[in-house]
Amino acid sequence: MYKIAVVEDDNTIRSELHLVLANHGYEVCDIVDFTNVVNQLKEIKPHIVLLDINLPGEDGLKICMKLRAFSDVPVIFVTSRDTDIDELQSLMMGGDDFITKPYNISILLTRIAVLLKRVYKDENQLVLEHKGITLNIETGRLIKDGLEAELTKSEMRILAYLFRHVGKIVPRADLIDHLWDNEMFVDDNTLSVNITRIRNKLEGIGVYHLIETKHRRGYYIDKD
Amino acid sequence: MSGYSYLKDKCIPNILQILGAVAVSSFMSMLGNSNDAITLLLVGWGFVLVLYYSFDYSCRKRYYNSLLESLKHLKQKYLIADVMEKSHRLEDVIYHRILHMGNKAMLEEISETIHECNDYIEYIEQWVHEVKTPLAAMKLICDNNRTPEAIKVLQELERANRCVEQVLFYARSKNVEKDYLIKEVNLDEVVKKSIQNNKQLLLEKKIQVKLECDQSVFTDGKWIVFILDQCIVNSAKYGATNIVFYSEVIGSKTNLIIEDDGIGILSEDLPRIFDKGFTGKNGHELQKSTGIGLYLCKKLCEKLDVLIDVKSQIGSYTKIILTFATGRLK
Repeated sequence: MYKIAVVEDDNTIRSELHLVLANHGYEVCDIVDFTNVVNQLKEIKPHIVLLDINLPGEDGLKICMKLRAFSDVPVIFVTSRDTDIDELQSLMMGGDDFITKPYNISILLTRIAVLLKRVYKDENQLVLEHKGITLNIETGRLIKDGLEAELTKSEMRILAYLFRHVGKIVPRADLIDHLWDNEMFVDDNTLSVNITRIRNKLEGIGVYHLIETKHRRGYYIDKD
Repeated sequence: MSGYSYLKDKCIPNILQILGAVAVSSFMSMLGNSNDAITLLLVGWGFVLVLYYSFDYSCRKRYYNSLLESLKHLKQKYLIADVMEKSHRLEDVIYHRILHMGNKAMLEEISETIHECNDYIEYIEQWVHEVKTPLAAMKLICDNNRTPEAIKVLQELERANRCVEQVLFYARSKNVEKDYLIKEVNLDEVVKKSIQNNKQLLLEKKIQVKLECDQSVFTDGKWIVFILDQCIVNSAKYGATNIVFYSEVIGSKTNLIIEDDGIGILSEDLPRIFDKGFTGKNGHELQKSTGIGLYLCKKLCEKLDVLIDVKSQIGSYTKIILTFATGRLK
């Protein structure tokens, strides 16, 4: 499990970020005392750091610079300052990414995942599995007992989202919302068409009735 | 300055001279001088007088002409007191001093106003960044608890965020140079960014978007995203159900076109839609128009050297066309 350190002085944002990240399977360490952030980070040894720029005491840029003296941990700057100069400065101080408030959770999560994958060369994140069906996110391949099916990009995104929310009803609105965040601007009809195609492809590799439609509530994949 | 106006100005000394001449000549004739002697005196007197006046007139004329000339070439005309030719005439010296003092007071006033203005802009920018923190917090809370109410709040948040962005860009539009970075920008990326900024609005109004742009241009992406935001909001406001973004290359120019199928704009309103505060017939009917959005777009486009144009047919379509110069940088 990856450990994420959140360095953010706004209480609400910190606790909500904590919740989001914890819900997505990360271990979250909050920094609440801003007197010696660098040393605290040294002790926590996170896999990734979310760093605000405007902080009481030392600002994020300085912290990042000090952090770089002994660590190559990936740092994502999360800030309300949005000028190009800020972005440039943060990258020059050794930041790996830069996201401005009010950020999009999907985008934040995607960036975290991309960075983790790049730095820790982890392939686990690329393969989702459920009931013996494996879905490779990079190639869009669906495999079950040696049978294969190839998904289009949007089909892959939809199925991946459903796989990540197994056991929960996924409302159509949430699914569409998620797809828009990932640059797929689908409408209601297109989503239905895509779901039908996914079901056909699943049947092609011998999986029936995996995705249930809950009337007026959304889609559902059973836990077991 | 004409000869007539010069003489008119010298009216009182002239009358005094004539009175003096009359008095002297009658006094001389009383003393028994011959008419010849008096005539000689008057001619001599008149000669000296004419000589003096013509010399003085030409001097003055030269002085004022050079003054007017330098004023004409001066860009900041209020600096004339500092560059004007020095004159040793008492009147000129006094007027120069008065002009100088007046200008100085005005310059102080101006610099104070500029200072206040910059202070205000700085405050606005700071405020915008501050207000973004609670907005971000609210968005996170809603995203973490996706109830139907939260989705409605998300829509309102998106609106609040747009208003805040508009304030920021309005403040920045005064001195763009401060925050301006020209890079190669993929049109597809900026369009996607703008669509995501307005996700809740587009989903709520069930507007379908289509993207067909893959050109790159050299510009500042952030500003273009802001301009696109305004266009999307307008389309959504005025009844669009489809918005198509497409680009085309014409010679050394690249056009980005935002076309919607909304209610369109009256042809008589078209020339004025980029004016500040102009709302037109559509705006009056909807009562929700401020006339700021497109005005800002136009202003930012001017600073970015991007042409912005609009074409529309009532009841069928509205097209906003952004023209980027591609030149040989390809």
